[in-house]
Amino acid sequence: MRLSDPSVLDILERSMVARLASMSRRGRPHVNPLYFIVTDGHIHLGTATATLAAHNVGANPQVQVIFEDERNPTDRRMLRIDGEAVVRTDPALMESYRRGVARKYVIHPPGLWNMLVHTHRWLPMRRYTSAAEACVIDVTPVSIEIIEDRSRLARLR
Amino acid sequence: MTAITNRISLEEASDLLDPPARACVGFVMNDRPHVEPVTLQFERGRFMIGLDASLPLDRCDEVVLVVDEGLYYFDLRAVYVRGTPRPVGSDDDAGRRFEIEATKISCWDYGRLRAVA
Repeated sequence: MRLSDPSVLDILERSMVARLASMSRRGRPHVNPLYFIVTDGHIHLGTATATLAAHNVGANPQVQVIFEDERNPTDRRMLRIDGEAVVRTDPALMESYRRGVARKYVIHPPGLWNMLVHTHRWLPMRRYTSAAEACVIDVTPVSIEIIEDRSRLARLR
Repeated sequence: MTAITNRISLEEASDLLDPPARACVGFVMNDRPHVEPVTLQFERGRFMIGLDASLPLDRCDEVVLVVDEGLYYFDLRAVYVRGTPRPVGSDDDAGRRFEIEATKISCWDYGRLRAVA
């Protein structure tokens, strides 16, 4: 299965938040919910260089990421990608990532509304995001799997 | 000198856990990181998860449970629990249940970004 397969792209286009699993040099697990965009066959996830996720990827490039359509709870599909990741801060990629994130998360009615109703948080947001060096975790997919039905988990409730 | 934080207490995030919006657990299996969706019940301060019976969580010394909510920046909230999984009850057709004995809990809410001393 490839990232360009229509069924894979369909889930990626609907998904808003990726869950990235990484592990430390000493083998300790970590999971982050992160924003992401898909660019030229790669998954680009945004974080900061000081985060545990970025440190882990620097120590061990193996990652696993899952995606789902959060806006449609009746869609029981889940996408799982195993990949090799690197932490990148090169300016061209960061600028491309920022533009992609703005298009996906901000420049449309729900994203703009979310910004407008939180204008009193803009200054803290600006200080928060500028306090740390931003980076992209660049994931090259190695294997891709679609789990068609997660509904069996519902019986555990 | 002030810093900006999005951290909140578990009490302030407790509505996230009942019922949980999205929950998943991260663990290491065969020297690789894995992440699986789980069901979660937060009962009297105990984190009880259910997941596929084929996953060897009982062989993991440590797991990370993440519950998160929100799609847009100021709606993003999460509860992060690092801990030890302990089997609870017996397996059934649907899966296995574990209690996560927490060693670390962090919660954040981007809608609460604020300056702190």
